[in-house]
Amino acid sequence: MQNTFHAKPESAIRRALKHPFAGFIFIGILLLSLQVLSIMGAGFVKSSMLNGFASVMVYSIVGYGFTFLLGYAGLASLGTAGFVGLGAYIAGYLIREQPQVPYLGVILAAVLVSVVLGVAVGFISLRIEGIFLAIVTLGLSEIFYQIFNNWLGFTNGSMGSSISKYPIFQLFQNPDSWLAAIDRDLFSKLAQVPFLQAIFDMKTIDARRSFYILLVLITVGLMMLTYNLGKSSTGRAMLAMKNSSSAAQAMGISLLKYRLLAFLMSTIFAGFAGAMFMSYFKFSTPTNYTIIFSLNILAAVLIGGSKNLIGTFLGCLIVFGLTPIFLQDIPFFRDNSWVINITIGSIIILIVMFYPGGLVQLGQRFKQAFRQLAAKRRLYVYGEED
Amino acid sequence: MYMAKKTDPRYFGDKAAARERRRLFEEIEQLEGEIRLAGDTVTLLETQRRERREHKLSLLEARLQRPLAKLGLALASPQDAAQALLQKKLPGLRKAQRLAYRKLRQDLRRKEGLLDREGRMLPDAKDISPAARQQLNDLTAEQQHEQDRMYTELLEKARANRLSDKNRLAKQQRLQQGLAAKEQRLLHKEEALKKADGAYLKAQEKRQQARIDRLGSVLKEKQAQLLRSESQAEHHLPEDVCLRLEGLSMAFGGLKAVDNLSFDVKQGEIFGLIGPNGAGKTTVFNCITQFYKPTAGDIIYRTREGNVLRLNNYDVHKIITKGIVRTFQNVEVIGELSILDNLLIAAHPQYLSSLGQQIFNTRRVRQEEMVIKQRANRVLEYCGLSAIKDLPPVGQPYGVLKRVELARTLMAGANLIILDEPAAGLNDQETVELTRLIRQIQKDYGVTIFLVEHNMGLVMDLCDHICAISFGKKLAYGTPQQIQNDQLVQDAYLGTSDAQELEVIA
Repeated sequence: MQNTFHAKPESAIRRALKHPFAGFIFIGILLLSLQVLSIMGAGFVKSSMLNGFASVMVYSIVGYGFTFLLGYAGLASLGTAGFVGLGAYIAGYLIREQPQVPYLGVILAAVLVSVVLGVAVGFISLRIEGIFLAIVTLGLSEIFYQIFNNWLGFTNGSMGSSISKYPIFQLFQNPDSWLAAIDRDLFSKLAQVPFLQAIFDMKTIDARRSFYILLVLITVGLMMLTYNLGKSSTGRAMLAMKNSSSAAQAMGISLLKYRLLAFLMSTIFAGFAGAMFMSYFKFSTPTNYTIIFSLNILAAVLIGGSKNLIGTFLGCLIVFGLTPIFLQDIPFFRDNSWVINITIGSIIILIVMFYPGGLVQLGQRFKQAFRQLAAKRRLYVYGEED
Repeated sequence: MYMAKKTDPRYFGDKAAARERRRLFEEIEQLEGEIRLAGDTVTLLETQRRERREHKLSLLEARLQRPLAKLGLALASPQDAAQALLQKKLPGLRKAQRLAYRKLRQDLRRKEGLLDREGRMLPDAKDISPAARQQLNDLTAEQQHEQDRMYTELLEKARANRLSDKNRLAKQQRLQQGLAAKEQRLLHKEEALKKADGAYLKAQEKRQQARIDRLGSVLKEKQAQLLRSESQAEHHLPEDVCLRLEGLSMAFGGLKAVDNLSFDVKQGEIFGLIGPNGAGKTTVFNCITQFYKPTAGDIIYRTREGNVLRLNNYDVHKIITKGIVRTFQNVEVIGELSILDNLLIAAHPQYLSSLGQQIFNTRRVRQEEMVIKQRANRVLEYCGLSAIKDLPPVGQPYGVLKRVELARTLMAGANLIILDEPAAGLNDQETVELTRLIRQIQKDYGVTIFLVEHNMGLVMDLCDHICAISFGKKLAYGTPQQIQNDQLVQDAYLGTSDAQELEVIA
């Protein structure tokens, strides 16, 4: 009767949970389920809460690019606000004034301009480093701020640029477009399933909700792609460059290439996120894009641990999301709104002071502390091992 | 397999032709790298697939075995069945009993005041009292009983469940059938898997072979192109010289750190560069590896394949692709990466997939990573670092970090290894080990080693030839013996007056 019982091999579910994408998908499912709950009529999910999550998603996209710049390549930039604003205003201008441009073209335009910007700043970063680079990008951002405020034809000045409808859903009206084809072939079939009806019948639910779903998919997708790049030889090369530029060069890593790439990543993500912001909120004013915004992104990435994408998302949640999602509903904070900023500021200070490795480190510490506590209890109850 | 005499026309004559040839070199190197990757991929895929197959089969076997095991239990004699069930339950039971025993012992000890507040034994604690000892022994006996009781219970259960003879026969048959079916299913599955794997491997092999062929034809074309311009490419580097410095000068403003320095490093030797502090040794290294662009003079280098290049024409990050790898005076390992990843950094030029492929983590990227990781594992094993490969280098002893740097040079496929003070900061034991490793590497990999070192014992012991410099100028060149007896060297190290002191000290 030997070998009757085999050791249980690792199950497929366990393996899937260990996959690096599991966390991203989990976040995606959480975000989606909120929207689904709201569609199905759950009272506690308010639209302000959903908008809060949407803005967290948009800003976390900026954060992923910045994670590459700061966490991997070790370069600091304070110009993020300008880059995001540019993406938003380009999208706004094209959608408002040039309706013949398809939505993908709008996104492409925002990204292309960001590419040009990224290359320019990347070249600057070859000559200037550290805090000086941050100041240069800050200057750049201020220039953009002035442009946003004063170029009325393009940005509508301090009144703010706005668009009237969700551009991507015009595609549904055009029967020849690819989106209409998907709608016809896939969505309308899925919409016959009773449970999925509410989600997939895009014409019955309002466009903002559909765009939220799209945004979740985009966020999770970008997390995955960014993670892939970070784990690849490119990510390693950037880390090497950050730790020791001379060793990196001796190992065949071109500083020019990877600095440019890091800035390109950050500006492209910023530009894209800007376009997404405009598409979702349909409105943007220059005051969104001041130095405060750049600092907030920097804080969010630092809080997250600067190299960890889930950390970045949580950092954005703390910096940008606490107010609209949680604190606004608490009467005390609603009546004393000045306390909100102090609270968030204190949280940032506490995390950065005690956990310089960010939320990632916080999580590890928790795990460690738990283990220590368990060990202490074991020692008390059972005595030392023998 | 595709050899062409590749010689860089460099500074001799036509600049455009030189640039064209450099471009060709680079393309050829890349092609060769890709062909090597493709070749390695196929062999690695085979082992990977086999392992995967075995894993899948073991999963299947476990799944098929489960119902049969139940049948087998029902059929076995009650003793055997009970024993089998007991074996399954015993580990958990023993663990629980062990904990109960420890808990009781701890309680008894606490009662007798043998413990401190955290539950540790006091340093001067005696053994527990006989009464308590008796209590513990009772518990042990009781636990033994419990095991026995469990066995009896299981046995009774098995007896009760004992099948009637008629049922027995049917079950027996079912078991036989089940076993046969299982065997067959496994065989079937294995065959199917093998077939699928074979097809996959064949397809992969075909793919990679097609790739190799395609790349190979391009490569041949490039090499033919290169050959056509061969007539203009002349050099006068003797066959046995690996590196030649010709009138190298490096000036920082008015300061001449290196002044018209010339010497040869022979192929396959260990060469030492010595000199007092500030003599310009590290500057020479930085010039060779193009961290500094020399103000005058040429650095001429022969690659492993026999191509002669003028290094001044290459960017600093291109030097490694020519087979020249350096280490640093104060080790420059990447603290944020594991030791394995540090080696992968050195293999950076071997990664040939594009950015887009990396973003989508395509099959090509995964295969590339797999192949290069295997290369790294081999190097780690050679350097004796396998056990700590997944740890971060931070906190490792200095000797280990030096070894990581050496492993990095091997990982890069070095032909000429440049060591900047390898023994600095090491204790005697570590120095001896490092010396042994350096010599071993030189022998096994057939590389040329060029080092700067202050530890004269190590230099004299290790080097075949030595060049001594002072204030950027060459003082002497020769074997260790010659250098030791050289008057100029003695003066430079000890001052001009008391030359005899050297003997006194030595």
